Amino acid sequence: MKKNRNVGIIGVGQSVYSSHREEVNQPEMINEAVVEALESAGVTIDDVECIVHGNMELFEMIHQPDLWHVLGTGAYGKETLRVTTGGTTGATLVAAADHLVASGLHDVVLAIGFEKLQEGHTTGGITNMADPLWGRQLQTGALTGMTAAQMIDEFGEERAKKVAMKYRIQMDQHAMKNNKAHRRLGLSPDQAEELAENSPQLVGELRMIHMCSQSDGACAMVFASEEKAKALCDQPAWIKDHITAHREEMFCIFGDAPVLSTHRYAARKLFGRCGITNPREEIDLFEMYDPSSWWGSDWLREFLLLEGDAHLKMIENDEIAIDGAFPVNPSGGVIASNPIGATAMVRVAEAALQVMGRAGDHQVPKTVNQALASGFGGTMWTVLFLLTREVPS
Amino acid sequence: MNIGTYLDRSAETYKDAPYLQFYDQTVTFGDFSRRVNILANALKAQGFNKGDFIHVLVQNSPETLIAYFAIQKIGAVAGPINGWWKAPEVEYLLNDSQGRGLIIEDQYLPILDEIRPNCPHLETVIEVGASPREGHIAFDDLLQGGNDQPVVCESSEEDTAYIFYTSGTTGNPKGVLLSHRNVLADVAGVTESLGLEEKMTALIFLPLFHVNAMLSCTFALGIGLQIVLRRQFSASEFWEVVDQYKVNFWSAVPAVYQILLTDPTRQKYDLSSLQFGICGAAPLTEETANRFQEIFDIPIVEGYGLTEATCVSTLNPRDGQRKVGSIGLPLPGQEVRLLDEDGQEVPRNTPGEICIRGDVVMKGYFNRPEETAETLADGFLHTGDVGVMDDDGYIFIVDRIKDMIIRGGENIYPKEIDNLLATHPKIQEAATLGVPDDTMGEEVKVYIIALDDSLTEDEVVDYCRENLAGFKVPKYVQILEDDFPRSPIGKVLKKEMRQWGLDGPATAAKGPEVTVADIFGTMESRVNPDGVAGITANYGYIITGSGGGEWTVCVADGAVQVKEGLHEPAVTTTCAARDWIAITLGKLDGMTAFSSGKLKVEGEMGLLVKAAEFFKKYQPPAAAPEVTVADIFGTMESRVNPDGVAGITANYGYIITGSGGGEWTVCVADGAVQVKEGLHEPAVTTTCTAKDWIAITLGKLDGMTAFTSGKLKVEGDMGLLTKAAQFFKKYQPPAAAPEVTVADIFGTMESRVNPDGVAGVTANYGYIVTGTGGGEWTVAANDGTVKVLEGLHDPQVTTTVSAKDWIAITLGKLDGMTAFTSGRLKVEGDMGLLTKATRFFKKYQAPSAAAEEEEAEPLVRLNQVLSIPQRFATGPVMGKFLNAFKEKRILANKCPQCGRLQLPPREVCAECRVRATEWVEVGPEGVIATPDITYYASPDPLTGETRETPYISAHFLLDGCKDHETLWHELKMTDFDKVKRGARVRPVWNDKRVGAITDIKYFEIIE
Repeated sequence: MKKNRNVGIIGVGQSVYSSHREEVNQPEMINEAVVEALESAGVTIDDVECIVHGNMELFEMIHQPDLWHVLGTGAYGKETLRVTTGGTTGATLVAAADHLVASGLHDVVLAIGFEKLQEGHTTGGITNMADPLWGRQLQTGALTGMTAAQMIDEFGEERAKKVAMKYRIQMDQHAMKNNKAHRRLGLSPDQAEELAENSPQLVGELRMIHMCSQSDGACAMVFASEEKAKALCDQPAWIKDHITAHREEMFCIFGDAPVLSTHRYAARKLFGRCGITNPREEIDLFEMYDPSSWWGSDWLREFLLLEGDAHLKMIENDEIAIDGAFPVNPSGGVIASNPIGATAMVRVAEAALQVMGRAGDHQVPKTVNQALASGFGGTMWTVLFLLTREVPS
Repeated sequence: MNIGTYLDRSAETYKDAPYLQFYDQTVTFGDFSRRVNILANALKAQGFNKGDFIHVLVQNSPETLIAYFAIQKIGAVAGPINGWWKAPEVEYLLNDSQGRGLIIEDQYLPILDEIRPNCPHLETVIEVGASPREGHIAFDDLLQGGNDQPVVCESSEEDTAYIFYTSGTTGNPKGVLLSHRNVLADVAGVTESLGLEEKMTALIFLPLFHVNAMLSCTFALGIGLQIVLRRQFSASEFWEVVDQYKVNFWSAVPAVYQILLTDPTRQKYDLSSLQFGICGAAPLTEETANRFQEIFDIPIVEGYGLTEATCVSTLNPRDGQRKVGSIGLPLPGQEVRLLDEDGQEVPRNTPGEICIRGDVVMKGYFNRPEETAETLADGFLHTGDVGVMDDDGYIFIVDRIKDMIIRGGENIYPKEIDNLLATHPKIQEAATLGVPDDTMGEEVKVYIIALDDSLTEDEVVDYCRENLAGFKVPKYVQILEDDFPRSPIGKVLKKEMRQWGLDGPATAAKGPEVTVADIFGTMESRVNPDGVAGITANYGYIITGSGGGEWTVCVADGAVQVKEGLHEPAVTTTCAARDWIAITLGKLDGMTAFSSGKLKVEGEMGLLVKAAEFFKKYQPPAAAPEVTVADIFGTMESRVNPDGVAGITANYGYIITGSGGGEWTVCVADGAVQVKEGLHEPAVTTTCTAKDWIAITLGKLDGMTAFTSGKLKVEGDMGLLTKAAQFFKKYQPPAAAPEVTVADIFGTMESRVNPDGVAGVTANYGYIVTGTGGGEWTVAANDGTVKVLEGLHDPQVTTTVSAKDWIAITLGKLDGMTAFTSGRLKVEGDMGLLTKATRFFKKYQAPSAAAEEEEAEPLVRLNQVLSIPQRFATGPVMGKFLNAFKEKRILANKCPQCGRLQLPPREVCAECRVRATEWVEVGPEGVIATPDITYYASPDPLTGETRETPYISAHFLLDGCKDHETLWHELKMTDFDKVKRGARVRPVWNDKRVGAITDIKYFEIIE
């Protein structure tokens, strides 16, 4: 798909992620990310023409927070667009910003995703969201143990549990390198067995240690047209392509027969049109929206279009480590930090930082020419981004 | 003549003229007579004979009247039954009269169902309705194509025509036997008195089970008058009906006039046909009478009568002088006299019992010779009403004879005093009665409901002194805070008040008050160890005034003892009880009190300063939460009385004014009740202040009284409102919740042990609960047994949390996991053990009276759960799916393109994006596809409740489904150990299914 014009990510800012950011209010928290993003892009708020703002609708129990946040976002007198698409909001914000610039409507756009979960009721938002009639009785927030059950069923209890815990510890080791991450527990591989035994069970074999956190935090990104991006930034991260796949109904996706997941569907389409035939080889890094280490492990197979136990082997063989052959989530991922409205944006932002070579302590030790970032949410909803180091042709 | 021949003559004379206009039906005199004959022949054929009692429970309709007359034609006795009565009352009536037959309209069948086995005398039931029950004779069948040969009524004038049951204020209802002569005599009297003529039109909406409407429909026959008959009174149609049929007059009760005055729709209609209105049953206020006269330019003719004298005994003349407040002049053919206790006629303007003689006086009460003899003594019907007759012969009602006070030989009529006091600007209502007195025999006491709080008892006495003879002036006056006891129709129950004696009503307990004794009594429990450390001294307190006393607080290096009396105090504080309470509650500053002289100190002043630190804050005892209008409406849905709302569909609007008010709509749709905020197309709207509405709900203010006194205003269909009284069960004001303490939580743990939860676990769980009310406890689990110890005893895992949070967690108000992740709850030691602990105990029940009530009314809980899934509009597809649950069927819908089943069904196949229209029944048995055991549940944001965990949700592959066509639902928790993929399951249905997800309790594993 040919774009009207290329769009480059030229600045990224993130607040510190934490369970409680009580020392700041929402606009102040957002402002931390905005200031850093503008600085990183080398622009001022005056250069920004439009602001895209979003979070998980009503998670803070506030209507139209974009109005209140103007003090922090700098949107005074500027066009502002609010986007809320549930868990994928952050990625959709990036998609919106990309379109705003690519279309020629604006040259420089600032996108902001945030969440201050301590002030709201996440479960309230989730269980009332997609199918209150049915799900409310049975679902507990976004938790499910079904993926664990299915993996155990497919690969045996011992191997499945080991992989999930290895993935978890790997992510924590990545998070230890990211000083903005919320949960940096300092786990080591020799704790795996103990954790698998003692971490409280939430749902089935989904244990507390496997699950992502609820975090406060904000992420901001600056997007610019090819001309501006080249002028303002030595190495922008270019948005080569992105895709959104959404499956409306949440039932009938569990059971014995394989179901085409939105992840696999999105990846197949995206890779197809970008000419990627061997994603593991052609893509240098993946920032995945991994709400739990069970999902993270399972979804590798979906996103990378793998079959059988190839994804387990990737984890078992340390391929996904920051210095491995196919690094996944050098930032620590969603398991480490989950300010929901920002979470999916952080995936793209972190992928961009890796492409730009500005990821700091968690920069992968290789040149990142092509990076993949995913967002997930809703019932079954995937957003997938492909970023490149080279200006897309 | 008898009623039968009276009817025959009417039919001959007026033939094709319209007799009854009943909605879209017109019944001519000839038609009516013919139908009466058919039914009479049919009743005969059914084996009914002369003298049989045949009861009629049919709402106003031509059928009601046809039944009455047909029954009388065959010489039987018509027994109208009050349609407002409940099953036990109807049962009593049927057994008292031992009637053989019952003509009943289908709407009253639930009553019959309830009592039929208890009514052995009832042989034949004739049902008025579209599809009569098996075993019932169809009224319509009897009429259609029946034998219309004229039936000649062979009754004598003395034979009984009617048995009307009167619901007196005392004792059980009595059957009043009215003869043919009685009825026809009253017909003649009323016709003459009112100057009724042929071709007049009367509007009849009062119920035909009372004598008033019965008599109206009967006198119409005599003079060829047209009756516009309505099922019931309805303000919304009233003026339209008057206009449409050119109504000349009607008969009504005072409340109807009051409603008509407030209805603005009259302006749309031509009311020029109106000539007069009749009013009876209760006195009309002067204001209403005058306003009505002014606005409609027609007189209201007030009258008086009772069932025992057929119906009407006195009337104001339609054209002559009418005296407001008077019941008028005796009807022609009736002798009405005022007699004293000895049966002598009293002089004019002197009170005496109203006694009636003439052809209208009943034959007697059925099967009650003693009461009959008492009532009909000396040839007169003794009404029990006291009246005076003025010089023109007009009678004024004074009182009921049994309410009369005899004070030192003088008769005093309480009504006179009541009426006088009601004119006092600060008095809303007064009730006067006699109280026993050694000297005078009785003394006068008045109870007052004040309009103005400033009213004093002296003002009441002074007002009486100015306006009444000395002997009538009350000796005792009591101003009440609550309403008088009243009967269901709002009459003051003086009989009940008489039992109060001189003391007045027992005063209701007020909310807990702060007392000085409580302040000192709780001191030892409130000692602040840091505050008293190092101090040794006795502090004396002399608290003066009501509730006061003397106390000594003895502090001895950290220990505090509070003693009554003064014990060698080093410093003594003297203060009024009121001020001491104010100081304790922080409402009065101690230093200010001291400097202003309210608080005096003797002795070592310096010691006193330290005392401020001795105690933790005093917590006043919790008062009962206030009753709020919001709570009244909020609890309505849970208080629905299914019988009361059955068959009614209407929206009731409420505009509650004043503080705490608002607008609500109670939407009743045939058995279902929903309370919404705001007004939503109400058929009837009630306006009332919040204060009065609460009083009405709590039964302290009678709704009808509130209405007649103008405190409660009604717009719209007033008839609907009377039904609303039956909608709800009694409102229970919220009870004060006793405080939950950490000590209680741990103290009750052993009694709440869940044997399954603790089995196999041996470990000590330590709890450090910080803050007020906190402490240290150890829960020692030892493979099935649990001991709770104070202090920490070798815990393997220790939880630290504030008392406030621990209580909140226990009550499910704070989620434990959230508390943990947010750092409010800290855990040291073996974390894994802790998750097991969540299953140790059954749910903690706060020590609350409310918990017991909840048990008494399980409906409350049930509704709460069921309302959750039903708050959401389901749409036709989900609706069809859920509704099938009522028949224990599980439906899926099938995609016409890919053949995939969807469960629950959805409008469109998510794969093919085409409408899935074919329905397939699946299951109900199946297998587990994927189980999901939830150990952690977060609180439901709507109800605040946290589900008990663990629970098992699972995707079930029901029979008839394949691949991933699974249904998501819950698995029975006791199947926990058997859960595995492929295990066979079946649904367990609720007995009462309402078409909701919860109709399936859960699935269970089939062994």
